[in-house]
Amino acid sequence: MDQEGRIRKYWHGMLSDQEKDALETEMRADANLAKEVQHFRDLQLAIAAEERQALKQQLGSLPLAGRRRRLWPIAAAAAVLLLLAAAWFLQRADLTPPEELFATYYEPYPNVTHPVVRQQETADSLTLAFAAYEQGDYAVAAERLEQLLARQDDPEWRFYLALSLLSQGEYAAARAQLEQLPTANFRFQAETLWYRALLSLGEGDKVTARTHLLALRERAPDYESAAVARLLEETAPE
Amino acid sequence: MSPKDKQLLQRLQQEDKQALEEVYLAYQHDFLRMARKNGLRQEDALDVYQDVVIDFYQQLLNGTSTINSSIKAYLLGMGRFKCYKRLSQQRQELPLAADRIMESPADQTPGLSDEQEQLRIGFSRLSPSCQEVLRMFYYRGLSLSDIVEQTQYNNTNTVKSHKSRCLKRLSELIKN
Repeated sequence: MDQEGRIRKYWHGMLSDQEKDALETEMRADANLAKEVQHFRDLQLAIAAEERQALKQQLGSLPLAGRRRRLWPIAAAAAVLLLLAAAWFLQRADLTPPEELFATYYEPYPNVTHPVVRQQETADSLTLAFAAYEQGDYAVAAERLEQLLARQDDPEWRFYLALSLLSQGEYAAARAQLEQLPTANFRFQAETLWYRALLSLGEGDKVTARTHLLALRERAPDYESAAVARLLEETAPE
Repeated sequence: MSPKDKQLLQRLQQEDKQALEEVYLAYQHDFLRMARKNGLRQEDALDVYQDVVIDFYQQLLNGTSTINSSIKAYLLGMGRFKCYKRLSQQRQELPLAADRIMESPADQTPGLSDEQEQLRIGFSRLSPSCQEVLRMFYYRGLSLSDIVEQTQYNNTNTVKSHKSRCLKRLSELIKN
């Protein structure tokens, strides 16, 4: 395979783990190769951005899709249900919907596990994963972290994998990762409980969110104490 | 995954823009309803929906995404989070967003470095045939022989030399 073909396959996820490792090792030793790999990526992203503008224009010029079914019978039934539920909603009017609480409080955790040095000419898989995470390219970060975890289990990488998934709205996959994290002797123990609570809010599940918040308050009373107190109020049972 | 979704995915992977419009229109109503329920205004919801559909399409084309669920579930799943983020930004008027605007030149495409932006501008000035060959190789990740199959080039050597000329032209455009 020629060098350019390898680089193309590298950025399009077509190399095996072994081939990818070999290329990354060569990049560390060969600055010209690293530059060539980066140039491919720059051009790929530049073309994608140009393409994006054209697609946005194309989709923006389409008319709004019409309703696919007649909604008035459903609306009539809903109106009756709304009347019945009105009293209950009035009582709970001061509470914020859980999904909105998630949107208000969720921020991806900063990268403190593997700080990325800017302008470095070569980068290994771990650095590329965390660079993608820092840039908000969560799909790439998740893919790379999954590959790394397949080779070596590291709870901190798994924590960032969970956040990469959560940042893409992949709640079930994020939960599966958070549930695998250690519950003791782990640097991000409080953070894990915090994000599990937020994830539950994102899914609209106030009860589970509250359970995690209570556990967090007990184990780490100082962690995000004001936010935890507010969320405990918002998730309090009727 | 339903046979209809499988067929749509195949068409999208072949860059069928009609299929893209079909997907966009098919789930637009459900998406807007979900976004409205979450408090997003119609124009913002449409903007977010377009971004979600384009992300989905580009990931399919460059091979960085695999979809196991239905197209609808995938779009609504991605969209749900983006709606929350948009709402969150609107409510909090995130200082980060403001900083980013200050740091970037007015016309700079968000998310691109200076070098990438120069490449984008240069690329937009290339001839259609150059744009096509570079798109196929760099953006879609097609091999030279794949490009021969999908175009009217005679062989891989012709594609290779045309691509080299286009890269040279791109480099000249950037220098000027």
